[in-house]
Amino acid sequence: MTPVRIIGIGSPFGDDQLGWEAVEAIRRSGLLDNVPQGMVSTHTCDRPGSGLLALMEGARLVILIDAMRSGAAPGSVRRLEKGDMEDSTGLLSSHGFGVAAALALGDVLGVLPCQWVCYGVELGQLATDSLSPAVAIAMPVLIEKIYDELQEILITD
Amino acid sequence: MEERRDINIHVPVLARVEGEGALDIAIRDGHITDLKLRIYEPPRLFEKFLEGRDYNEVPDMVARICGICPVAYQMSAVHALESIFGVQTDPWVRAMRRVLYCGEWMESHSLHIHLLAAPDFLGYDNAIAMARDYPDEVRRGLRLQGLGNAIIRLFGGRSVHPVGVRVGGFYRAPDQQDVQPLLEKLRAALPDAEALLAWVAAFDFPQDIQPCINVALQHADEYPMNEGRIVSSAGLDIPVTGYEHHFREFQVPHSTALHSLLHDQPYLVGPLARLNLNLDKLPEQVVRAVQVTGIAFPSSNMFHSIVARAAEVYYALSEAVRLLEGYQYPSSPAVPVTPCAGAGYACTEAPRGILWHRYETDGQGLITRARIVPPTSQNQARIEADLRHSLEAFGLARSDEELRQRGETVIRNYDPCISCATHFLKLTVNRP
Repeated sequence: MTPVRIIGIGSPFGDDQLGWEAVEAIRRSGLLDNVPQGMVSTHTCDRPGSGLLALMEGARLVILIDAMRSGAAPGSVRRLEKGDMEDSTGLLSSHGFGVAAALALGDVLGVLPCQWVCYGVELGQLATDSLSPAVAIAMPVLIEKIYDELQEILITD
Repeated sequence: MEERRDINIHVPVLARVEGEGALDIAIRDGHITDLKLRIYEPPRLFEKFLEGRDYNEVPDMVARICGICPVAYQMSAVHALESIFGVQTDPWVRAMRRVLYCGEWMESHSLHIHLLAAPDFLGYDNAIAMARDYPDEVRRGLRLQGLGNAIIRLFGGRSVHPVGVRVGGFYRAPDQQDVQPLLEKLRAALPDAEALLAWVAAFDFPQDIQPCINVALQHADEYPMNEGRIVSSAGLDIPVTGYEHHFREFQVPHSTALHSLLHDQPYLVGPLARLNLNLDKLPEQVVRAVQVTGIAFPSSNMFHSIVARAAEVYYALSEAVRLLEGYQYPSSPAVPVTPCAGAGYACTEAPRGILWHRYETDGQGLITRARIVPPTSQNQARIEADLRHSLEAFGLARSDEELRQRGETVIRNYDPCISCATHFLKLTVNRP
C-alpha cells in the first residue's frame, strides 16, 4: 500500500457515484504518470462505512472524494479537513455509517493517517444511472484541485 | 400519584440504523393509542428494474440493493434462478458460497454490535463516544469486521463492482496463495470472537420477555445459510416454495414498506430467531461459549439479539476456518447453465433474517417478474408490537427523552436495514 492514496467513495445511485467517476478520470488523465513509482495509488469503494479506516491504514496522506449534501449549489467543490468535519451538517453521506462518522471514530482510536483531506462535491440527484450535468461539469475543476494538492505534497516531501 | 400526560413523540430521523426511518407515538391517559414506524420507500422500484434483464445481470443488480448485505441478495437470487434452470451446483461452489456468507455475517454483525447497538447498552450517545472508553473492544470489532470483508474480497472484491457471484457458481476461484494467509488470520482471530461474545453477554439487559413466533431456515446438517426448509417456533415446517401460501405481505398506510404476517400473526426473523431454532447445529466450542454466558437460549428477550449476533460472529468465523482448511483449487469455479422459461424461489439467511426471492423467466433467460421480500419488512409488524409492549412495560410516565432512547434501543435490537426495506436510496417521489 502506497504512502499517498486517493480514495473515491460512493454508492451506485446517481451523483453518489461521483467519487468513483473522479478517480476514473484521474486514472485516465495521466496525472499520475510523472509521479514516482509506488508513491500514489487510487482506490474506489462502495459504502465502506467503518471499512474506510482499513483502507486508510498506514498511509501518510489520504485524499478522499465523496458526494456531499450541505445545501450548496450542485457541483460545488469544497475542501474539508478535520476541523470542518465536526460540523455534522457539513458532509452528510448518503450511506450508513458515513465518512464523517468513520473519520471521527478513526480519530478517537488513533488510527488515522497524519494527513488527510476530503473533497466534497455537492450532489444534485440520486435517481439516475449517471452524474447530473452540474456534477459532471465540476469534475475537471475537482481534478485540477487534486492535482494541485498532490503537487504541494510531492514538492514539500 | 402518577401524572397523566398526553404525549406525542416524534422522532424524525432514527439515529444509528442503516438508512432513514421515523417513529411516531401517541400516548393518551397512560396508554399508547397510536404507534407508527415509518420507512420511506418508493414502492417496488427495484423489482421493476429487474424486468427485461438477462439472468446474468441479476446478481450484480441485486447486490446494489443493500450496502451492507450484497452477498445475501446475490445468494437468494442465484439460488432462485438455479431452481428455474434446474442447475445443480457442485460441493466446491456450495462450500464457497457458505464461506462467502460467513464473511458477510461477520461484517454485518460486527458493525451492528460495535457501532450501532453496544453504545445503547453501555450508556453512550454514539460509538465514537464509546470508543474513547472502550478503544480495544472497538478495535477488536473493526478487526473482525475487516476479516469478514477480506473473506468477501477473496471471491472477487468489493470495490465498486460487487462480488464475483454468478448463476452456477463464481466468476473466478481464489488462488491457494490468497486463501492460506487469510486462513491464518481467521484462525488467529478465534480468541477475539470468543472474547467478543463474553463481553457482549455481560451487558446489562432489561428483562423484557415477549414470546413471539420465530421464523428461520432449518437444515438437516448445518446451521442455516443458503439452504433449508422454512420453520417456525409455532410448528411451521415448509419448503421454500410454500412461502406464499403461509406468509402474506400487505401495505400499511403510514409506510410504503410492506408488512408481513404468518397466518395473520407478526413474526420474528434474524439472528435471535435463527439461534433459537438451530441451537443443535452449533459446533461444540460455540455451544460452550454460549453456555458460559449464563443466558438461556431459546430466549424470548429481544435484548439478547446482540448476544445472538456475537454468537453468530464466532460461529461464522469458525465455519469459515473449517471450510477453508481443506481448500482445493477447483477445475471450474462454476457449473454450466442453460436458461429456460419458468418460475423459481429461494430463501437464504441474510444477516438480518430470511430473504426470499421469486423470479419468472422467459425462454431466453430474461426476467419477466421479480419479487423480493427482505427480512426487515418481515420484522416490521413485530417491531411495532414490541414497541407498544416495551414502552408500556418501561413506564410511560418517564421523560420524553427516556422514552425516545428506549424506543430507539428496541428498534435497534432488530438491526433494521432500512436501506434494504427501501430497495433504493431515500428520495421524494411525486405521486399522481
